Amino acid sequence: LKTMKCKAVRIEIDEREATGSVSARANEHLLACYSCRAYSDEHKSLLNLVGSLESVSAPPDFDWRLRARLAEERSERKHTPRWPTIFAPGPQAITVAASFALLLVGLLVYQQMKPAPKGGAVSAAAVARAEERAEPPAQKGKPAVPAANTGDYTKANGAAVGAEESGVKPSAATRASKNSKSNGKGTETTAAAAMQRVYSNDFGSRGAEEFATEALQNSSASAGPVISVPLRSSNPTTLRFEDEQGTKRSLAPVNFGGQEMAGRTDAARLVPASEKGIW
Amino acid sequence: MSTLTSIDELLFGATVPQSAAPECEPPTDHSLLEATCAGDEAAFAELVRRYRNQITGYIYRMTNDYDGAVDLAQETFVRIYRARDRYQTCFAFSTYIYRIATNLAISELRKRKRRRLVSLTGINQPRDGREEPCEINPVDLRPLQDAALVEAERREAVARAITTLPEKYRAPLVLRDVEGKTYEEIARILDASEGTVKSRISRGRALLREKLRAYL
Repeated sequence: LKTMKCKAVRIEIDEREATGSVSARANEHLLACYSCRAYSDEHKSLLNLVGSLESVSAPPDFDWRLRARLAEERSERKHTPRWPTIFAPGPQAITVAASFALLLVGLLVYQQMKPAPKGGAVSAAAVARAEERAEPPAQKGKPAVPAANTGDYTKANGAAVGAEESGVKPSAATRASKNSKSNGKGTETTAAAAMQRVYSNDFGSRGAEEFATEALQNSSASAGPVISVPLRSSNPTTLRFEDEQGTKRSLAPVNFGGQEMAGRTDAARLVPASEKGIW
Repeated sequence: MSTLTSIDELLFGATVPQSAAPECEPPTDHSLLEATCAGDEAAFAELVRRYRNQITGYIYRMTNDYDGAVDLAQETFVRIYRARDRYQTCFAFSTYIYRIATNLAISELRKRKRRRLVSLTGINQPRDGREEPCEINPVDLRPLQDAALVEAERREAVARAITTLPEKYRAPLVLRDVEGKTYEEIARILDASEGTVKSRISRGRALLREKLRAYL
């Protein structure tokens, strides 16, 4: 019981105001309790000791310096353009810049990693198919290109067709030609399709030569299937093949950009955008 | 020809309001701040004059660094001037200014702690993660020649002992025992309850008593 009372008295001593005195009950206790009296004396001494600290004054030039700071701040505000704080130099700006750089790098990586655009390879195969379908029955029986093509031909064609068979969506040209054949709304859809373009799959860095779908269709309808020949360099390309009788024949070397091979032999036709190169 | 009666005339280009009419009641802090908002820089100069010593002294007791304390006191006034339009009169101005000063002082102490500045008073800080640093305070048993020296040495010991208190005890203790604020004011300044303030002051005094036992 005495301990409890000592605790209460000490709290009262601690919490009393600087000039105030303790209650009469606490005074009675202090007279009787030596330890609490010692505590009270020590408390008073401590307060005197802390209170004896000399007061500290501001330096004489305090106002001058303050005025200079305020004036400096005002002039800074006048001359500093009010950029949003996010762009102000500091950690915030660094964070924003870093985020932007990361976003940019991410975008570039994504562009490099994403699959080739559906325009190029698919378009070659799709155009070839569309041409075959659009071919009149009379011409269909007559092969425009010999069956025993050399490796170059089959490789190019096979790759193109394979691209379509692997589930890639048909190109605009294919869709347009299919529409024109199947549903009979040829004039409407062909006009719309003619506005669409066929692109190569050169990773989008440069566009292939553009063909109007309608022109392709018209030109190939009488000529037969379209073949694609990949061009890997600007050196002249020589085409060799065997005809139906097994006779080996060849075309004169064709330079890059020489699209028109028709007329030299009975084999070559209009060559659309290939899987790898650009005609 | 007019003569300058105060440095404030030089500083802010106008006379201090109450000096023109000494028989009137001095303007309150609130009215001075309102006048500052209205563009009266002399009113702000008066506010600075009223509080510059208190704030400098308070921050000095918190940081034990006079130059730093002057800088922080100036920063306190700069912030008040900058935010003069946002001041709300629901609290006393002294509470407002002491709160700003306390926040500045505490953030300065934390900065120092982060930078691990080694001061003469803190060179013997423990490395075992204990909260309370202990200062170098070797007992000098030689008899001193002069009572003034004894007094000076004692004050110095008290000041150092205060600066070694943890900041959560230091601020309320300085406000209470050095600045003489009431518990209610301290609670407002520190944005804490009165009970918390009382408990922290009591704990701070107990720590200080241990450090200064030789002088009690």
